[in-house]
Amino acid sequence: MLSKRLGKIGFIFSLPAILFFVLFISIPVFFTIFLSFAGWKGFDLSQIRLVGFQNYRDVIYDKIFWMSFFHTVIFVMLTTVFLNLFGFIGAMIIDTRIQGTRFLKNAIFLPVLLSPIIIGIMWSRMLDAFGIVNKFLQAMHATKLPILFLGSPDLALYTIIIATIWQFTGYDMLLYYAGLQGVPNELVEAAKIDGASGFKIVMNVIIPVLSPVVTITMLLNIIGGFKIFDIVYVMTAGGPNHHSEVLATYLFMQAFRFNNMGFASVIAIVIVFLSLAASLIRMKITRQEV
Amino acid sequence: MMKKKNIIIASITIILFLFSFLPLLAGGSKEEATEKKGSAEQKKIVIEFWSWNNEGSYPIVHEDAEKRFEADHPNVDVKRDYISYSEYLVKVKAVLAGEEAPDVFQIPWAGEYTELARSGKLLPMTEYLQKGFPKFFENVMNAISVDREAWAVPLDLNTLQIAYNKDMFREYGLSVPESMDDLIDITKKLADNGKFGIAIGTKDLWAGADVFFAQIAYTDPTHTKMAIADAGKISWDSPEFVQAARNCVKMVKEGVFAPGANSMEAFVGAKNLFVQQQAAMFYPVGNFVTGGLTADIDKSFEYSLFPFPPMKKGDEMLPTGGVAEMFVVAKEGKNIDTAIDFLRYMTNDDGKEVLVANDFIPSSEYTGSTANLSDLYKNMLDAQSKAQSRVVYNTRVYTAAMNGMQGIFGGDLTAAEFIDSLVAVAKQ
Repeated sequence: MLSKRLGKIGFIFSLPAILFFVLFISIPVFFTIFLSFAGWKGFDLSQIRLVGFQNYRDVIYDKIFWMSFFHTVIFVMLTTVFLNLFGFIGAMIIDTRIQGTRFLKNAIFLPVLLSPIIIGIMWSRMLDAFGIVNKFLQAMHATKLPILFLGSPDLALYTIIIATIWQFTGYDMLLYYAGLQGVPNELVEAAKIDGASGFKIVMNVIIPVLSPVVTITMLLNIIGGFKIFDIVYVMTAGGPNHHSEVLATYLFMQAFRFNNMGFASVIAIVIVFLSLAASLIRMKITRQEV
Repeated sequence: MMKKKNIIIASITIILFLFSFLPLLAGGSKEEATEKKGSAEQKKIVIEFWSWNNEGSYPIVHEDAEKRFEADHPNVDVKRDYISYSEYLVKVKAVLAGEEAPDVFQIPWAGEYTELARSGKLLPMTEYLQKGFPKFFENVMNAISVDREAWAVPLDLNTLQIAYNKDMFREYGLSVPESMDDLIDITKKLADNGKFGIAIGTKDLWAGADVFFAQIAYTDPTHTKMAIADAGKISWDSPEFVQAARNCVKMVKEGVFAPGANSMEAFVGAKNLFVQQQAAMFYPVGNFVTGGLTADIDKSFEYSLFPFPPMKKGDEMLPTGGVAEMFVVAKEGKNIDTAIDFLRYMTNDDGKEVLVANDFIPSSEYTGSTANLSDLYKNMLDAQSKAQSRVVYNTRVYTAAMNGMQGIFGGDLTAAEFIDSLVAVAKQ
């Protein structure tokens, strides 16, 4: 009797969250799946018409979709590797607690607090053909002509990747730093007594203990990478000539420039599918570790 | 004891649950209060007005129309909202779909215009434009018409030309180029003196496409092919367009433009190059930017404008141009007649006076005094009389042209590849 009543109370407590989830997550997701089989300009709900798998066929044969898919994969791979690498190194340095590490921790974490829009604008100005970076390089006689960081087809995507790594290293660093607090000191001491070098301690003691943190951090980076939009949109808007186009910017173009909601919905499903796959892998790995 | 505890928990739950609806309740009571206040006084009509042009002198023009209209209509309150262009179309589409569109809102002149006109959400304007509006120029009427129906009220026109530093030209013994070869020679002389030719920023895409349209003004002597191709009646690989693309590639290869076009925004990096006198020329410039440009230059040098020169010396110089600001009324609007009346105030003689005073070119004949007009304004008025179209309504083709020109400026696209990209998207 009591548990039944408590169940009701629990349900009432959960109701706002359930309503929120249904209204703002479930319904839009199902509507997006429905739209991926429909043709719609986005103006009038009564003009939605079913087109079967036409949108999926269009996506498969679309050259720019594959360009943006490929760019997204490169973006995810490089940001995940370097964010984790720099985040881990930063956490190790801070964990030494030598003088200046507190300042370093705040300095590395500060960009995480800023909006990617601000970061994008800031990097764009600095990397402009006649921005401060090029002026510095020319003053140092490193280059005669300006380097077109955002204007060159070969550099634009990698420049955005560097800006993203700069912004989010602090986030990964904090996760690793928290993880390092859980590494048993006696393990490290024992390894030292056994004569292990610093590198061997990191590789054979610290990283294995941190493996749940590594898994979660990497997968958070992967999921975040697949959804990347704002910093790309601000820094290059996918240009030049689609050379830094990622899935989310292409989705935006299809939906709000071409009014092609069905095609855009297919791209949204691809992004959701990729993120979901990453989440499932994370769940599987963490379950195995538990 | 347990029962009492459960009652307390249940009470807290109910209170918290009700609190979550507090904003809605508050919203309801605010509306009620406004309604009561409204009925006590006189019910005010609110005209919602949306635009993305909150820079330069446009807000002055909007505000003036608002003040004049409100003075003559004390029961109307014009509420102006400026939304950044990057999110403007997203918001417009959302409010149109939700039938919550503002009464009067600005609309883009190319690409999206056709889609919006055909959305069934805009009020057809042909009949209204015959009642109380000035007689708009014929080419303007053509530009705002889709499927033989006018859908917008055009406020003003613009022309796109190259701004040049007159002092620098004088210093290096240069004169306004009369042909493309002249332009190439000028940029070579400038390079010898450590200066760039034309500063252009194509990071925000549109300016690059305008270089292509500027060439079509010369490669198509009939001045009709672009509209015909846009309507899908001829292919984009017609010789006129191929030649225009070749001209663009030639100018890029010959160093006519300052380097780094794709990494600069039109009115930030590129403009700065010109203002800081690193580049002798700057494109695109029209009345929409001359106010800000003149202020930035701050009398440090004199500048004037000329169009992209023709291929052959002696041919007429032809700028490009089109409608600048135009406004539409939502079909499902609550105050259609008042909204249209407000647009009449924006475009009437008083409205035109304010436009001219702020260096804008009205979309209908201006009969006021021209005695105090600046040389720059006279130049733009003259250019307007010869301006060729820069409008492609097919969004996909327009987007492909913008992206393709980035490819040409980046040196990774040939003229043939550029044309192929237009042909491919036009078929979709």
